[in-house]
Formats: sequence, structure tokens, C-alpha cells
Amino acid sequence: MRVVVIGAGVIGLSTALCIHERYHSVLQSLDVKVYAERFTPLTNTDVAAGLWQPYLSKPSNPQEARWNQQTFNYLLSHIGSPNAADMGLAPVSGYNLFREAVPDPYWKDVVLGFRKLTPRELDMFPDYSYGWFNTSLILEGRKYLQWLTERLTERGVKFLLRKVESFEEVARGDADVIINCTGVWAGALQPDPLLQPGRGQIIKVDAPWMKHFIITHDPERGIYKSPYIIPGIQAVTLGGIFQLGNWSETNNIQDHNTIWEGCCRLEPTLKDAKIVSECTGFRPVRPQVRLEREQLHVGSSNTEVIHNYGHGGYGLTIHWGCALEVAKIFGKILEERNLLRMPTSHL
Amino acid sequence: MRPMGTVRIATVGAGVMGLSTAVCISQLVPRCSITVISEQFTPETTSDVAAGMLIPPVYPDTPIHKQKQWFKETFDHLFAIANSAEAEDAGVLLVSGWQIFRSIPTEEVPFWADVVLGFRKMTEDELKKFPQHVFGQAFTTLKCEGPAYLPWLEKRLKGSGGLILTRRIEDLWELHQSFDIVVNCSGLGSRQLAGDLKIFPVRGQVLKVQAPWVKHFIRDGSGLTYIYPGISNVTLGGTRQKGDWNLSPDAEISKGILSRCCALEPSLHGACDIREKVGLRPSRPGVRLEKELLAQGSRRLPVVHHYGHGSGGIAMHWGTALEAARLVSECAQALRTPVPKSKL
Repeated sequence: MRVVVIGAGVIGLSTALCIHERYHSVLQSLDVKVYAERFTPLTNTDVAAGLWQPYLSKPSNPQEARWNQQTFNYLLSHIGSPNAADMGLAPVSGYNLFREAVPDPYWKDVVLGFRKLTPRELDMFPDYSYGWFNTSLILEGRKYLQWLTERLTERGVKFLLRKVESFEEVARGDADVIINCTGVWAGALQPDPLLQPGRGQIIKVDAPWMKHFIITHDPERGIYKSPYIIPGIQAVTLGGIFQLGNWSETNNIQDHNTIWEGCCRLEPTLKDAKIVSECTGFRPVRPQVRLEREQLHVGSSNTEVIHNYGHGGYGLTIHWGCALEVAKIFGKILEERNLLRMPTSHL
Repeated sequence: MRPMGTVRIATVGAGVMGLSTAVCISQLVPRCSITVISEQFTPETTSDVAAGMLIPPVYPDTPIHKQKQWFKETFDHLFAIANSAEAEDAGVLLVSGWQIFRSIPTEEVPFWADVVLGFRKMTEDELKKFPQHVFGQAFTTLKCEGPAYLPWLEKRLKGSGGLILTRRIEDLWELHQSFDIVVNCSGLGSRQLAGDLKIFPVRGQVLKVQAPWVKHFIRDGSGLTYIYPGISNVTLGGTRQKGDWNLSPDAEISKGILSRCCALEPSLHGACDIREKVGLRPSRPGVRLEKELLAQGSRRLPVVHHYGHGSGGIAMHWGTALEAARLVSECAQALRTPVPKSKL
């Protein structure tokens, strides 16, 4: 069984790991390769601040809520391991701020200690009059990708720097099953009018006194268009940019000013924080995640493609649930092909 | 001394008490000169070793309402700094976390619960992280770090004309000639300077480590084991050794601290750049905050004592400093009020 995962962001690498963990010992042979044009630190995952937090409104596909929860629980089970920090994983608490009362989010019982903000807490944020406090998790993109790469390498998964032009090319050459984790660039392999870039720009600063995340919401402007401050393992990410349809990969000075002014207004202590880096990324925005199977007829054989892309700004938040779902679909493919045979030595 | 003259005030001790009292005095008492005199300055004071978490202890000899007032005044003062642009300079930050107990405490809601932010009981899910513990409190409080806060106070003091002198004082009477009022913030030094045998050291050993992924404090309700993330390091503690004056770190104790803290937070196995520190908490059944008129023959020396905060120094400092400053103000008033000779 030859599997090629296209894409080496959090979706590609976690899906590869999930499949290998589950099926390596029940298949006669499982060969997994990752093809990608960009590897860490050049993926969109590397730009993400890494806070586990879904969008506020219920997803149009109820499965996504389940995948978010599965991811949180999976990550939480690693808290308490001495290696959590190596994964880029740590608990973090903080504030979600609003200008008026809003209903509780559907994930309030997934995170820990969810509650409303008290008046004294709200006094800290004069522009906001309502909010939540909860404990969530940070999963820093870069560290997590490095960790996933190590785990995959240990398992003999190979990585190839390769620009894939078509599924057919991969099918013809190397793969029985292709997992399409190409994120925002999926349209290049198969047109998808539902997929759009949600351009984001962030500034990373040195502000080690910031122990909490602070996320503001402006329902009129939309998600991620309002300032947010998210501490990572070392640096603090400042953001608040979301531009649908903008493919510009370079940092924009107006966006820089928007972020800086917005965040310093929210948190005056940032005034003198040192800027460590600034980057741009593209959230793979889609009305819902594309997670489904498709059969390709290449020559005389059938190659299975499992699509797993379009996770918007909640890729890290939902990644493991999606990986599990892909693994389930993969298992079904194996069953259909009568490949799920246990070698006698494993019984 | 002429009624309208400058009152010369000396503060002995340059830890958090000495410096904050000096600053409060400069704000409260008109026409005075303030000199802080100390043998040790930051970063060599006890206040520099303290983690500086605003989680107050209980002083058996002090009424609870007073402790609550002192804590609230300190919290409010530092909270304002934490939300200002000075936070980094002053070494003040907001930290959330958990205080956990191996058995249900008699007092589930302590007197300071409504002073800190968002105080509540931990949920079942939150307690799962601590399998050895059955009860917990979650809240947000402040951390005030000596190595930044003390220099920040010094800067404010100098800005208002205060002076700083390095000198070891063996006897408060040494100051009689040059000063009108003495404020004694000498902590454990008061055993000698004030003949106070009620004050004794409670030795605390801590580790300051690099573990920047730790964003929450964790404190075992017994107070013996704690993890306090700060601006540039995480403080792991600790010990409470009564009557122990030894300022040298003990390697076995360090091992024990690391092991106890790793049990609460296993990711600390990856902590590095571990530095051992020792501080002697100036412990007393209650904070000594009172005036005393020292007399020797015909000489008189008004003294305001302000010491004995044990493990609650940083947590209570501003409230007690304000009170000490009020006592100093009373002494200054008395000095300025012309009295008939028969009253002396």
C-alpha cells in the first residue's frame, strides 16, 4: 500500500502520522511519502499563532464541531507528558472580548473553566463591555510541525520537495491512495470555487510578561479582523488581519499599522515590546472543510484521493479530528480492497 | 526644630518595605527629606529572591479586616501598574492559575477571594490535571518581581528628591544626629536594631528556571510546593525552614524542589538554566507597624517600625507602607507642633 500525502502543513503531517500509527502494523506493507512544495518554516501553519479556538458560530457541518473537540481532547491528553513543550503544546488562559453581550460559544464545555468576565476584569479593557475567560491550549505551528516531522521520520516516512502538477502524475508514479492536504493551494490541483485565501498578517514580539491571550471580536467587521494577542512558547503573536481573496505574500505596511495600533490600544504594555518578526499567511477559507473521498481513473487502475483541505483559520484547532476521519476513510478503502489482513506473526 | 522646617526622615532597609515606605512618605508628608539607608540593595535583598506572587498568608496576630485592607490596597496599586505602559519596567504582570489541595480545606473561600480576579472553585475537568488533589481554586492575580520593582521604586524615590545611602546601621541611635524620624524597615535586622526576639527567619530555597511555556501558576495549598511563571524565568519552590539562617543553597533541597514541581507540572523536566536562590523570610506572628519614641537620657528619637511580613511581604507591602507613612506623618506633625516645655 503506497500512500502519498500532498502537503506538509499541519493537515498533511498529522494525517500522515495518524494513518501510519493506525495501519502500519496491520498491513503487509505501508509506504507513506509526503510531497510538498513548502516545508516548515515556510508553510501557513508556521504563521498561525496556534491557539485552539474554533469560530464562535456553529459550523455548517456538525462533524466539524466533533473534530474540534476530538482535537482538544487529544492535545489535552498530552498535557502531563514531559514532552508537551517539545510538541509546542501548553495550556494558556485568556480573554475573549465583545462590545455587547453574546451567546456562549458551542465549545464552552470543551475548553476548561469557561466563565463570563467579571466587571473588574472588564475594567482592564475600556473598549469592551462583555467577555469570556477560559483555559485553552497553545499548539505552536512551527514546533508542532518539527515534532510531527521527527515522529514521521522515526517511522520511515519520506519527505520529498516536489511541486505536484496533477493527481494523475502522482497516481501514475507512486500512489495507491493520495491524501490531498494542499490547503489554500488546492485549487491548482482541482478547481474549487468554494476555496479562497483569507490573508493574514502577524507581528511576533518579545513580551514575556504577557501570559494570557486576548481576542477581541467585532461582529460587524468579521472574524480575525479585530485585534488579537496570543502568547506562544517564546514570542507573542499580534494580529487582526483577514482579507478574503488577497494573494499578496508580502507584508503590508498599512496592515502592520492596523495590527500595532489595535494591539497597543488593547494592551498598553506592548508599547515598548521588541518586534521579533513579521509574516503573512493564507488561511484556506471554505464554507466547510472538504473531507471526502474521490476516485480517480488513471489508465486502467483506480487511485483513491482523500481530500482534506479548507480548514480556514482553525486548522490547528481541528486537525486531529480530521486526521482521524481520513484514517477512517482510509480503513474503509483497505477493507474494500481486502488488504486488512493481519500477518500471522502479529496475531 | 522649627515648626516650618524640613523634617529629616531616614528609612533603614532597602527591600520592598524600605523603598515603598519611602515613596509613600514622599507622597504624603510635606516638606520632608527622605534618605534610604541600607547595607543591601537590589538585587541582594530578600525581596529579590521572593517570587512576588500576590497570594497572601495569614498573620495570626493581625485582624483579618486589616490584612484584607492591606492586600486590597497593594493589589489595586499593582493592578494599575500592570495595566499601564510601566508594567514591564516595574516588573508587574497578571498571572492566572490554580491553588490545589490534597484534602478539602476548612476555608474553601479565603478572605482575599474577592480581591483577586475571577476567583472560583476548579471544575472536575480542571482537577483531572492533578490526580493527587481533590479540591482547587482558580483565579487571576498579580506577580511583582523584586529585581525590576525595587529599581523602579528607587527611580521614583530619586525623582522626588529622595537620597540613597549604603551603610550598615548597628544601632538606631546612630541616626539621631542627622535625622528627626527613623523608619525601621530592616526585616530580620530588627532582632538587633529593635531588640525584637519575636522576629525569626523562615528559610526559603527556590529555583529560578527557564520554562517559558509555563503560563500558569500552580500552588499546593500547603504552600510548600509552587510554580510561579514570571517575566524572564519561572520560580519553583520551596521550603519553609523555621529558625534557619543559612543563606547557601542546598543541593539535596534543590533536587527535592525540582522533583515536587515536576510531579505537578511534568513539562518542567525540560526546564533549563536552573539557578538556586535562598531568602530568609522575616517572620513574625504579626506585622509590626507602630510608632515608638526611643528615649536615652534627654535624647528622643521617634521611630516607626514597619517589618515582620514573613511570606507576605510583596503581597502586603503597599497597604502597610501607606499605613507606615501615615504614622510617619503623625510623627512629623508632632515635631512641628510647638509644645510647652513641660510636655517634653
